[in-house]
Amino acid sequence: MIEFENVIKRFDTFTAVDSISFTVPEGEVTVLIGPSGCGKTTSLRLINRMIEPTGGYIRVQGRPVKSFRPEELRRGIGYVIQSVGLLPHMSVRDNIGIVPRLLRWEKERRHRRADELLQMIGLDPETYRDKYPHQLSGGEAQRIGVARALAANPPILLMDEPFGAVDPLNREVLQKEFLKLQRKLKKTVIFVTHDLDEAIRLGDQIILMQAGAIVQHDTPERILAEPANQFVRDFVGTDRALKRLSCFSVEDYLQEAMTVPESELRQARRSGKLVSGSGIVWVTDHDGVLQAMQRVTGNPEGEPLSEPLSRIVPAEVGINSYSTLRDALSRILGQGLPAVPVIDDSDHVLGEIRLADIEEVNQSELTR
Amino acid sequence: MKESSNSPPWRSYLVPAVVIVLFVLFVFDHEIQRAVLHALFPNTREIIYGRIPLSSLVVEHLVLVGLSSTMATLVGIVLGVFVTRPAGRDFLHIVRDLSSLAQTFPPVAVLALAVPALGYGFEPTVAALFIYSILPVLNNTISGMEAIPPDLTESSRGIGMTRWQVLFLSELPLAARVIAAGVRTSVVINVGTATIGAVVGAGGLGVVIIAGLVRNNTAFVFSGAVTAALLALLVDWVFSRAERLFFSPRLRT
Repeated sequence: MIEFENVIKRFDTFTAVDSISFTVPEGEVTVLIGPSGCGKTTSLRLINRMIEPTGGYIRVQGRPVKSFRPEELRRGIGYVIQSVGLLPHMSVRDNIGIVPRLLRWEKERRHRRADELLQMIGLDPETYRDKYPHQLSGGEAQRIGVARALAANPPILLMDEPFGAVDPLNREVLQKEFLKLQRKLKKTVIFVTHDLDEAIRLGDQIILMQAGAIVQHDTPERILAEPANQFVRDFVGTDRALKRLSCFSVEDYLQEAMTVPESELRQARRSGKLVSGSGIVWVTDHDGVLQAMQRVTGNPEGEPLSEPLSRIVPAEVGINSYSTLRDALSRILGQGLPAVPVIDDSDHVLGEIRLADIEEVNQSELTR
Repeated sequence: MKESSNSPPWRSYLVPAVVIVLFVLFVFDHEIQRAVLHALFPNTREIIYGRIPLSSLVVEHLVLVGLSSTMATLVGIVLGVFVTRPAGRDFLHIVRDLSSLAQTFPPVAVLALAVPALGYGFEPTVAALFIYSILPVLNNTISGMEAIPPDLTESSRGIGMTRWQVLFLSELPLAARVIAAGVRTSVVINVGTATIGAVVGAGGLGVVIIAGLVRNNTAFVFSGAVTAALLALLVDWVFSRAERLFFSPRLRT
């Protein structure tokens, strides 16, 4: 838990942070967002004492940050910045192991931890541990930056626009991976960004700042549904309804999907079992891996199918369970289907998301 | 950064090996020395400087260079690091200017100034060479340190390094290549400059050269100058090998 109490930071005459108070709950992602110069990065840097406040109190796990030696404090808080800051003269393994090294862990333990983390962020330790930062792509370097921050297993993670320098495609991948990781690790994360979509996607809570003050501190859903004032309304923009869909995980709107192994398709059709609420039956091989789809009319009488079986590439049609309803909607519209399958990493169908359900979610906002 | 792939590895040793052999034969084998000098200067009667053997002069020369360069390297790096710290940043300009100024002084003038203070002989020469050798080291240390992206020191601090750890774990390793290049330049120049030490009686290869100038004996001048030149080449090669050894291509930033 991190607490801010009337924290002020002045640079000469400029007040960067103007008496703000908030609490970041344990195990959640709190996003600091706002236009440039609103004090979000300054607030973040006050936590690990990269800068010292002019006034007020900051407490980490109930203890004032001032009572720590700065280095000691920082070794206990993961820190990820946009430029990553991997040391070019050290291998990936040594970079990940740098905080453990500062904490005087033994070499063997550091190496084991580095491999463990590489595995966790989805990079093969064999391939990556001996690479040097200049041999990495931007996305890989960023992942390793996150791994480095996690190395000593700190309960708190500070992230300052960590995905800001990555291209949009990769950013989305990194965001999804981050969410996946966060669900497992349950760190207390403070995440600075100026990208509202990112904030909505990642944040359990959003703190919207303007000119050093907090304008609204709420869940993403409520920021979009009930902007506190005109500034917030302007900031979230006119496509609030669409953005709001990013607040909802597909997991919560998963509908049971009708799946049939391809070998049993004919049989199922004949016996009139080929029905689906969404109008689509997902056809798999006998290991349950998605192969094709079959539109059905919804008529249970087993009439001849007018539509042929169409082969699909699972990754192009399906979405994973870490996606949001917004992703689902975009996929549904892009594919021109009434529903899209939700698949796991090995292309097994977990369920489906239907257009009708998304419409319903949006309706519920309008009536609010 | 890679060694040219189409030439076998022994090629890179060929020239230095020849230089070493020539150097050793010329300096240590009197017969060869005599033969070479006689062939080049058939009309000179006294072709070998008799008072001190060339090999002892080489040793004296190396002591002069070694001592002054070691001190210059230490002082240059420490000073360079200091003026790039927040605490020493105020001195950055003055240190840079002073060191450039020192470089514009001819070494002989530095000697002339050092003699009244330190007397004749070894000490004033080491002092003059020391002052003269600081600049390349200092300059490169400052450039090397300033070329480090601020984000990198920032993130090093952010993950919990103390100021000393930032210096030794991230800044110096990153600046090392540039600093080493400065040291190499400094030492190589120093090997040449050290010959002026003979003017105030510090010994070294300058002794033969000065004797040759005084007595109008080109053979003396030649043997001193060529030996000093070969020595400089050798030192340069040793440094370049050391650089390759310590800084493999991965250090590229």
